[in-house]
Amino acid sequence: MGVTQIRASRLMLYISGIETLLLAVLFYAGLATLVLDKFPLSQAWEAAILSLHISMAMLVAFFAAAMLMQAQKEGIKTIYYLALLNIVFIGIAAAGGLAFYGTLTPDFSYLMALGFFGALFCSSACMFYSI
Amino acid sequence: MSVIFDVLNTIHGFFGALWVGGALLNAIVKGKGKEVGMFFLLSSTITIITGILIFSILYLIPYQGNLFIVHAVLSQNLNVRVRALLNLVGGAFGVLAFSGGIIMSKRSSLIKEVGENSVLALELKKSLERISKLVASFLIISVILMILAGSTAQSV
Repeated sequence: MGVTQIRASRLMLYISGIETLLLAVLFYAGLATLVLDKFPLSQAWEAAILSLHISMAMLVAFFAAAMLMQAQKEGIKTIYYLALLNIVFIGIAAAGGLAFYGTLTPDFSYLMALGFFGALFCSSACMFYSI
Repeated sequence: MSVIFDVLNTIHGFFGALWVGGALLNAIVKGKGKEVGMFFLLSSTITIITGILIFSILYLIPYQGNLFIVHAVLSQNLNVRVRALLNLVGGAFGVLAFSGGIIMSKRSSLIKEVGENSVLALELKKSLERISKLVASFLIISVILMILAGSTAQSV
């Protein structure tokens, strides 16, 4: 790859922008779960908050896959590695979240938090790369 | 442990302030100053590394039968809850600014590679200008949230 291609395409900007936005909503839904939900869940609204968090996580994973596919098309190594790392961090966060939900051990939520910050870094870096 | 935490906190605050200063300068000089860029990158890296360490210490320290940060967010005291939330959101904005800073440093080195006066360099400089404005805005939001968190802590 030469230096002629300095930034990724508009499509990459939109996908990574949406991914960063979804991560932000996921973060606030996660904080709301932490503040408002009491495990094990007993109220419908508690389940709704957790469902929002999980739905956002699924959307984030979907857009991460789309980002990786687009990154492959862009042909820019940095973007490709960032998109790949993004998927890895989302995988770590998902594993941490599922382990936390399955065992209710708060230590697993640390993995979820680290995965989130890693994914936020990678997706926003892809977004900045397209600006 | 508290001494290590205090030292990390001081370094984080000091270099965080330098980072904001560097980002604002960068936005004002539109990414032209080489020294400002280096200063910006160094201060941001130190701030992020100390931030991750502080986050890990806060997260993993057991406190009254729970993790410290979970205990803080679930605390009955509203000030403690608000402070924890402000710190978390401020940290997320810091991560956003850091990723922008990394891309800026890559673009700056690319400008040197292609030559200051080439057409590509002009395009890169335009992009640097846009990113530096975004990074400065994210950092200002982050710092405001952190200062608010600090002020809330004073009233606990």
